[in-house]
Amino acid sequence: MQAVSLLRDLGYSHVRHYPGGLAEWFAAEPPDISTRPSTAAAHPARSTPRPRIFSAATLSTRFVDALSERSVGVLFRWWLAIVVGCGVAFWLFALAGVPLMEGGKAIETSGLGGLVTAIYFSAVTATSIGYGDIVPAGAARLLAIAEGAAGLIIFGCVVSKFVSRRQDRLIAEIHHIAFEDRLGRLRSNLHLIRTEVHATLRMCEGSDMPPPEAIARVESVAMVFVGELHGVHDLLYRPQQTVDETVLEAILAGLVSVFREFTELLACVRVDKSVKSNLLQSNLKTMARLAREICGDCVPREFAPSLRMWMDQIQRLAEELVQI
Amino acid sequence: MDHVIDRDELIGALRARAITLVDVLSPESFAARHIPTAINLPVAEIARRAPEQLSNRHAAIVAYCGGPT
Repeated sequence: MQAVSLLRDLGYSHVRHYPGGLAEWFAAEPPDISTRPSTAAAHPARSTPRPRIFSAATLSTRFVDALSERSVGVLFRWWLAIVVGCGVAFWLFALAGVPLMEGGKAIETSGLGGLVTAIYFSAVTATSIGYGDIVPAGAARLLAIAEGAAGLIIFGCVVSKFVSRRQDRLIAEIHHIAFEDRLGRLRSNLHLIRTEVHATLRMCEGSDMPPPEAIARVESVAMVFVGELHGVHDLLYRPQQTVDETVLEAILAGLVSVFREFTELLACVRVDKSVKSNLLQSNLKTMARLAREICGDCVPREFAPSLRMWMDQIQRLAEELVQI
Repeated sequence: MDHVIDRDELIGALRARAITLVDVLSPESFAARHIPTAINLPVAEIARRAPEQLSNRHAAIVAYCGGPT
């Protein structure tokens, strides 16, 4: 099952599959599984403590995480709050007799002028400009140092966010281009496979015995086709982006016609079990497996009915293919 | 290839609270009906959301979908 192998790929060691699924579970009377009323233990994997993560998360990493999770706007507001808050604090310090000094004299504390000067000093400190026209005295020095450090860290975060936002956009664009490229390649490869199948079909039509090179071509075409099926599979189950439904429909329809023609081709070159090489045999098996997974019950999204129809056809044709 | 679990075994494991049950169908299907205690993790989202939904990589996990498959 697709989900099980995906989970195993991610490192989950103890994954099993309940093949009966919803259908079987609800076919019979749903059994009572609530022997214990406690719901806390209902999800053992989620409720088990995570000692490693918590012990490893030192204060500093949590601090950095907290900063990096905030948006630019929030961080900037924090920074402004620090500037204004410390400005007011410096002013209150000055009122309480721990003044800010300007040219050796304590600044004027009365009125709005004193507050503005205090906020100006605070801003100069938080940006780490530090002109030195106004200097703190006494206990205010401690606050000034703390403000300088905090302001620098937060301002640094804001700047790095601006840079990384641009980078994220660029990376997303690159992903998008690569994805479109992959889609395009998938479609053109399907076309090439169809052409090849047609050509091979013409080779063996009309002659009683299929030429040996026809069989070789069948084998190689099968190999390429398996690769393309893998591509479609990834498109559905490991999507970097959501595929447009019409594009997906075109690809699935392409798969259907290739499957159909490939079946015809196999009938034409009359590869029965005795002639089938190991290579062809294993490729056919992979084809059928991938077709089942592409179109199975675990289809990841609620697809439009038309897609469903193509998927059913692919599945049926793949079944026929294995029967040959 | 897959380790499978049958219905009776599953009932026992659910009663013992010994496993985490994962519904890999779409959220719509999950909302309509799911096996009790299951959590929803659609196939297409496994790579992205499994680490947060299933934090313990060594816990016993059982996945199911529409079945029978």
